[in-house]
Amino acid sequence: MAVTLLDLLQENMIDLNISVKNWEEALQRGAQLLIDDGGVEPRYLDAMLSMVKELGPYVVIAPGLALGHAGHDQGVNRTCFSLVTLKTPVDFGVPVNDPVSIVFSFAAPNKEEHMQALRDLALFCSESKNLAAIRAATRKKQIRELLIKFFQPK
Amino acid sequence: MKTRTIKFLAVCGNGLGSSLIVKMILEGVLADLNVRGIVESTSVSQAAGMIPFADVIITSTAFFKGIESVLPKEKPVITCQNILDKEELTKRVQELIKEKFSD
Repeated sequence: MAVTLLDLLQENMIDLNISVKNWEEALQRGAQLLIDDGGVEPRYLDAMLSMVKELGPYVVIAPGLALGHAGHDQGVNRTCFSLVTLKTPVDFGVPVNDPVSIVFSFAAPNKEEHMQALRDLALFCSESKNLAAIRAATRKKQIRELLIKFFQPK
Repeated sequence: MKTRTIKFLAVCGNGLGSSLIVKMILEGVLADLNVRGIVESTSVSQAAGMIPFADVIITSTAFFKGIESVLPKEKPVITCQNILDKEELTKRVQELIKEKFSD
């Protein structure tokens, strides 16, 4: 069965209103959740940061929203997703979409297994009211409730 | 709109993130517009070999700088500021078809 964003984004994969100094630290905090949960090896973070330095801030996919990730061969143990929100938004160097306050991070062992969760993420984040609700959330439970309401409406 | 199938190539850093999202959203846009198209997604390192077979390259504005140097000048490119914005992408695709692919 397909692994959904709702399955993967459990409370231990969420950190809200954290203070960071810059975009590196924002990505680092997102990757740390993946590392702590055993989904990736610590070198995954290095790969994430070096890809941005090498190829540009392509992880910023929409206004205020970054999607941090590296390749499937960079120490990935399994598909995993995390979410951090930033107390003070930081610039990634993409003028049209800066500053960023929502950072999703993920890792995928291949091109298929994370497709459903990625599709969920795109769908969920394409609605600006969901992004506003993520920004406003102060408790992890609120994020879970948002996801449940969106993906499993009664 | 037209009958020939348009081949799109979505490119991002490693072919796992934004290019897959672009592929998903673009497939929806093409269906809505009733345009026949194939969308492949790839990483920048593998893109060079696939670019000659694509009619259109599609990527995020943030990423375009990273691949500009490997793209042939005449190759049509769509860049999206917000890759989650289906309306933006729909507009870009319509413009492109009008400009380059209408008979």
